[in-house]
Amino acid sequence: MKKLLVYLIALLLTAALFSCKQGAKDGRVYKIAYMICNNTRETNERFVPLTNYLTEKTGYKFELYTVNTQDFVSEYEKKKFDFTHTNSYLFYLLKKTKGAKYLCTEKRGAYGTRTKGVIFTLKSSGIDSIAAIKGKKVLFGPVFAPYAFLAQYDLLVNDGVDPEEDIIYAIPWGSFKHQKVVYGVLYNDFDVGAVSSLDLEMMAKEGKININDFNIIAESPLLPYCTFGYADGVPAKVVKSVNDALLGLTENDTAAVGNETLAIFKRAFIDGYEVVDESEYDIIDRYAKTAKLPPYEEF
Amino acid sequence: MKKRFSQSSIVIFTGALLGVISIVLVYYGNPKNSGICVSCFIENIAGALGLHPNPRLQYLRPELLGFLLGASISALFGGDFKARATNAPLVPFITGALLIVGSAVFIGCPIKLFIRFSAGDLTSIAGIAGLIAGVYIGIKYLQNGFTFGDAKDSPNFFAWLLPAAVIILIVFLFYEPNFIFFSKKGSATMHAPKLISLGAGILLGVFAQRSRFCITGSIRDTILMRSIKGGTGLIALIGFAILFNVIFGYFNLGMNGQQSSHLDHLWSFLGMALVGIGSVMINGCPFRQIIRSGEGDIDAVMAVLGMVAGGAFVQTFNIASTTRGVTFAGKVAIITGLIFVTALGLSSRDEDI
Amino acid sequence: MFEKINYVSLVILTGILAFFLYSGGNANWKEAPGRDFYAMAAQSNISAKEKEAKIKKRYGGIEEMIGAGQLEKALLTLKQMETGYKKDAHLYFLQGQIYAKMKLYKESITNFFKAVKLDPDYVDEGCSLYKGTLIKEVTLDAMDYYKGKSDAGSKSAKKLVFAMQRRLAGSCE
Repeated sequence: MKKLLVYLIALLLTAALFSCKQGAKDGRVYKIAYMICNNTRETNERFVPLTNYLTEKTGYKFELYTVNTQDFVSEYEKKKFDFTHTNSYLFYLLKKTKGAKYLCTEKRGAYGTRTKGVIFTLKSSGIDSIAAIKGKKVLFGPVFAPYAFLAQYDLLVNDGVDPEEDIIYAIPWGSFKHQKVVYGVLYNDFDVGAVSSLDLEMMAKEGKININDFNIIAESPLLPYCTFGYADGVPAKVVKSVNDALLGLTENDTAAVGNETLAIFKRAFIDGYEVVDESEYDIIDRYAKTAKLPPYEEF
Repeated sequence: MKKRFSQSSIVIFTGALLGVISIVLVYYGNPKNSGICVSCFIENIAGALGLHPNPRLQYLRPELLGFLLGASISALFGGDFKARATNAPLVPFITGALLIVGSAVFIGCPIKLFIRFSAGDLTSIAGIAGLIAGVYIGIKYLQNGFTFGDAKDSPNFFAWLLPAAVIILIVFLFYEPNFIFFSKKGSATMHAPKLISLGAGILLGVFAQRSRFCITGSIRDTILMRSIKGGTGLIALIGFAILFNVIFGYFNLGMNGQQSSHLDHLWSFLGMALVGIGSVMINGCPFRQIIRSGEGDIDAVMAVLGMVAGGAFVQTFNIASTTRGVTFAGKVAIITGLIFVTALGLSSRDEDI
Repeated sequence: MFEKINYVSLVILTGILAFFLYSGGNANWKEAPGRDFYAMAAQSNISAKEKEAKIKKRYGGIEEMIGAGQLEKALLTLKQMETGYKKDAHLYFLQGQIYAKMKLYKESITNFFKAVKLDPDYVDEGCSLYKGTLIKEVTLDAMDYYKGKSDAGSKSAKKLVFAMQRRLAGSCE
């Protein structure tokens, strides 16, 4: 009886020990800056579970921090965050100009860790080549978007179309700019659109568009999708823990958000993370040069 | 027979015959590296009886039916046909099922293991190491008193049950009634002509019964005798299989591009270790169980029934590996199997019975 | 001593089993990497003629696009169809073909595997749907492509390519 009692007490103590929430391993709070893609609310909803997962998995404390695309470099300079989650262009810019370091690349859609920029028209428009774009109204995605502006800008220039002279181009305002580009073309407000292949794929899968209504008249090479990086000075063991946790993520992983348990992949619209060859980002340098965007901006 | 041929020469001849027939049956239509594979054939038979949902693994493999029939004929004429049983039928039944689990995770029974090796498949080496380790552990259990009881004579009627069932299945094999499933596609449709397969099976059954040839038995004897004399039959099997694989152009040395293989070596090792331990515990590899069941050994009959159940389980529950690797269910099944044999080895000892 | 070793083994094995069951997740039980019996069974009941007619009707336009080199549009159309025809093997076979033309071999073999998992006729020489020769060519190209590459992505791609090589060699699946 006495033995049984000792055993029960030991069992209870062990259970209590395991049920205690662990504090942050090093008492620090690491901020992960997520580039606002469509709007702040969407970015929060997408990435809070992932951020909480990293805290649960690594034992270090992480916090989500949302940043506007155009403010990313200046906030990085002010050391407002430790990890970055941006599109590949912003990551390349941070790496080239501020020394940010590569962690891993996000997977989503048909090309996994990569996607491509496409130029598309309505099938009924009769526009079937870049040459035929001259004089037409073209709707691009935001300027800092590698696969909705930069890649297509480069495609046009390489095929002898000067976007500043030969076409009338515009960029939508507000949130969900990429979807606005697709709708702009679909409803005949613009002749030509520039989005990522991934955007077309997702909208088609959601039933918002029918791919058969469009013609794809040009496509860029594949380039890396959204990227996790980190600032100089983040302890190596923290970086390794985060990288291991990201690479080990599976579609079954969940994280607690308030009283809810949420599926990370579904919430963040991702299929996982992988390490790619960093040289895959080099093509962005040429794109930035062609479009005269940072670090090659001309005012 | 004894006067004209020594027991060891019959064993060598049986091993050689098994090696040759395994390759020749591939020439006549059986899947490559599966001229003879007891576990694959058991899965085929389980499918033919409608016990699992894989539509591509349904065929009453005549070789296997032939083994049993050949063993019965040989035992009848040799005076070995006799019903005998212990009082623990669940042990051979569950262990028999586990032999198929281990084989399915590795992709192949001990015979196919050595046939794959003889065809140059280097992934089989992990399996061979596992099988040897398993047999060694099994011997340790025996040396520490493992037993599930002494076999006692039973009414001879029981000895006839499985051979009679086999004869009925042979009738079904040729008449193909609609309640027996025959795959229209897949590996089950790859087979030698029925009569050739059946004939080869009966021939092997006769010699295996006379020689008591057993793959795990050969390894066990080699370990116990500390001499390759214990494994001469196995050596003959490997030697002739290599020779015939080369002659027929099936030999392909390497790790990649091998038929029915995967690269999860740890699980190949553990799968075959489970087969090794289980085989020693119930006194014979899957092939030997079939031969013994043909002699009227009721424990072996239970093992064969367990093997058929195992053949159904490994397909139904996705335990069987594919060329992409070992499944999650396969890993769980192997660990569970190892827990079972360890617990069995601890609990069923002379002192406890 | 023998007994002690056994008890320790028993505890360790039980621990491993508990770990597997705890970390496994429900999805792992249901999925085998190489086969989907129920899809296979459904496929095996369709005659070769019916299958060919269905493929022509459903995918004829896409095959024309592939032939005309409109790979991106063909791929996006297939992705769009994935929502409705998740268990249609040909959807993945065509994606495998497109990715191969784009020289994205990992994606190509992944999709060929998805197709074979749903309908092994693609690698069954006896079937009219047999595409083993094409898949073999892509596999050989992929082996050349990944030869000597040692980054993590190439390593996992090689694993997949070798698995396809084994599948093409034949297996009782």
